[in-house]
Amino acid sequence: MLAGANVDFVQLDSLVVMKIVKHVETEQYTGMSEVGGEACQGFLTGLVAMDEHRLEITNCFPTARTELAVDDEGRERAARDLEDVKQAEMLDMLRKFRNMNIDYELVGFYQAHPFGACFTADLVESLVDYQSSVVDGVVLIYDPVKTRQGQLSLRAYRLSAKALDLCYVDWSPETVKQAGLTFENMFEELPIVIKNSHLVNVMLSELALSSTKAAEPAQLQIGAKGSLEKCMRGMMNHIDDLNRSINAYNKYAVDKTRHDALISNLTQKRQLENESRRGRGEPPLPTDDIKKMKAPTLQAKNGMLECFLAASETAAHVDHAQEVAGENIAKLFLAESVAEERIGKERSSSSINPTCNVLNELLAVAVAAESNTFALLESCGATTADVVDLELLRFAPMTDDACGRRARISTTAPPTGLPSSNHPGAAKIVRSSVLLRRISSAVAADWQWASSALSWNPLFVCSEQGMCAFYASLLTSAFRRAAVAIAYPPVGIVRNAVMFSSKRISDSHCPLASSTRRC
Amino acid sequence: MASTMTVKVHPVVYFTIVDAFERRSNKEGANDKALGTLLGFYEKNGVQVTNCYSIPFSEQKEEAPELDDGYNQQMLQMMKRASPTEGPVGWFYTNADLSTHCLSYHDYYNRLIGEHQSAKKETPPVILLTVDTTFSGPNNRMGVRAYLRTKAGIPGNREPHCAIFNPIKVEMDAFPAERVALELIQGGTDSKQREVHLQGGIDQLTKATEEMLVWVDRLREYVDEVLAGKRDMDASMGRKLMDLVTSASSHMQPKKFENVLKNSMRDYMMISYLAQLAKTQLALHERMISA
Repeated sequence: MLAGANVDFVQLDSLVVMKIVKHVETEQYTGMSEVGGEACQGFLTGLVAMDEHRLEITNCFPTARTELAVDDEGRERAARDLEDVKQAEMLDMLRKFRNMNIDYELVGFYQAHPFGACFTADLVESLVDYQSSVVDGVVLIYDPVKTRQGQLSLRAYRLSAKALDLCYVDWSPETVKQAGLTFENMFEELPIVIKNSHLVNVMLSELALSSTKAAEPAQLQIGAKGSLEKCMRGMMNHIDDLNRSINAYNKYAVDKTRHDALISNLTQKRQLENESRRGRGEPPLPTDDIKKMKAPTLQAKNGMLECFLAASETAAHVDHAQEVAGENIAKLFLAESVAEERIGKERSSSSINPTCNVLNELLAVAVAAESNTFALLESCGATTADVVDLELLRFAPMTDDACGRRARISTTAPPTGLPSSNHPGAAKIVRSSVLLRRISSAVAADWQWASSALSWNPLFVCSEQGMCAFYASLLTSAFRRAAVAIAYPPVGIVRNAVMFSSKRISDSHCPLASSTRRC
Repeated sequence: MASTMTVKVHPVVYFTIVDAFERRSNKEGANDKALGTLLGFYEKNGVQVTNCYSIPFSEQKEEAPELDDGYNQQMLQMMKRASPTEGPVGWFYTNADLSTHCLSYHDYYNRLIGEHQSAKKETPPVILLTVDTTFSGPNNRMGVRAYLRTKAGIPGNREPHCAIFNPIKVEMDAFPAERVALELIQGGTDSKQREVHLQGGIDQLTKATEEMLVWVDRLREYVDEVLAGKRDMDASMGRKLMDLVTSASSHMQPKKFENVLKNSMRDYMMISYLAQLAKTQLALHERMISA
């Protein structure tokens, strides 16, 4: 049997991160992943630091794309040759790595999957391959969607020891139950640390010094609607898969109990009969024919594996959706607080106290600088406050409404115990981020409550299969209804609204410019 | 034309070059440098360098430096198969200065790139990128330079008199996802262990807002100083501030804004509700199987 895995965490060289990102990005850039049809992937090389229970991944290289064959014959031949060619190329590359003093021990592979939903039968198969030859082999899953949204997403997985053992036996429900395997403990996720060498740090500093234009922070952009929609769609598909496999399992379970009952019935009858026969001095009947009765089988290709994979895929989508939705709610709060800032400015026109407002001051300086000197303004008899007032007059029509809203907000959510009270915008931002944290933790707590409820609810503990299945189907139908009826249309509407607002923003540059010229 | 060309180098190239230098051979008589092929593609008035790899070479013989051509060709083949859009565009060398060897290396790469671009008649410009990993340049910095070789001499002469390596502009360019990864890795410069951990989305958001606050504070300070007359007025700065003000206060009717806000909030709430529902189902499913 295999020795247990030795590593507790994965240390990535920053080079590996950049190489993987670059590989996937070029593929998307050229649209290769759509043509090729398979996930972008490559091999990882590195070494195992046994003492520190660390897997160091120091380099990687992409696998060659399969060449697209035109006719069927070619495709068959290509498929046959492919494995050999791939193997040969990999070995060749490893030799080249050795030549250049790069670590040439193969420690795993990487793949790119949107939403990090990587759990397929192929992946399990490859992992079994790797983990049987390299005990500490892992797969790195890179999520291009999330990374584009400003958050680098890399995860390292391996099959747990239990799952690995099962892969050599079979995935029948009994063995799975005996092993205590669930979809959650099937894969083990290892924590990842990214390490820079000293020279890389120097180079990074150099890059930071030389880069002139600051990149727009992707993590602050609102609008992951398209990808979220896709994610929801994927989630629904996987839920369907999951239900199919659950139904198969239920059917199997019912058949199984019926079968077991039948067998025990027959055996008992036979035993009674045999006893009476023995009493009459006749030879007992054999029980072989009963034992030979065909036991029901689970109607699925890979047994319970299918079920687990569907569940894992769903879980990945769910996590993505939840996280992105949570973040976007946070961003909306931010946007709101920034917008409130403007409303605050409008209000201050009635109380004429421009100095307390950040944006007002910015505005004043901007206007003054635009006409180049204060002297010019002063010669017209204007003061800074006047200029500000001039600007504010433009907002007058909106002010009433804004004041009402402002008042309402301030009564519903008083900003207490926050720093820099002379700094309303800042306080709002802080407040919304605090609020956000509260929301996210509430969501987490909610979920925890749900799962704990599941565990103590007597209904579930002594549950019959049928009851559970009923609940599951209830949930699914609710899920589908809700998803179809509510989720989709507003997504489209909101996208339009956002586009509209951005257009408004660009349009609004003009009146401001003209008013500047006026003063 | 050539001198206005810009070399756009992607971060992965820098990482590979540094790694190649760190992994240079420490055997007796080996070179204390790294050399390799740059891959990328040509665009209008510039070159995108998107990838590279190092190759074995030897400078032991003073007048005839050697390169492993076989290795190079094989690597080129393999890289081409992995990403067909990239071709050789030049070479890199980790040295502060150009040495006499550069001439013969450059000749070699000229030939190589000429062969690979057989469809076109004219050989495209061959880039030489040097990274000063020994910090021997001014200010002890790690200078990055790019050169193009041009021939010089009296016009009409068949053989040019000499060749000049003309420095050209180097810029860093990156795909959006590369930028994100780079930003994260850059965090390693502040850490003592030179380590970076992956961050959750909310943490990142908090960090971004905190940064924003710092910048707003700094701007306030600047504005205060200008208002108090301690600092001179700057029109360009003023324009930037103006841009900031106009973009910060989205000129949307508050009511409309509120609507948009409410609607998208509802969307996201719905999505997280659905996700929750799916999670509940997963938990149910697990109960069913292990019950």
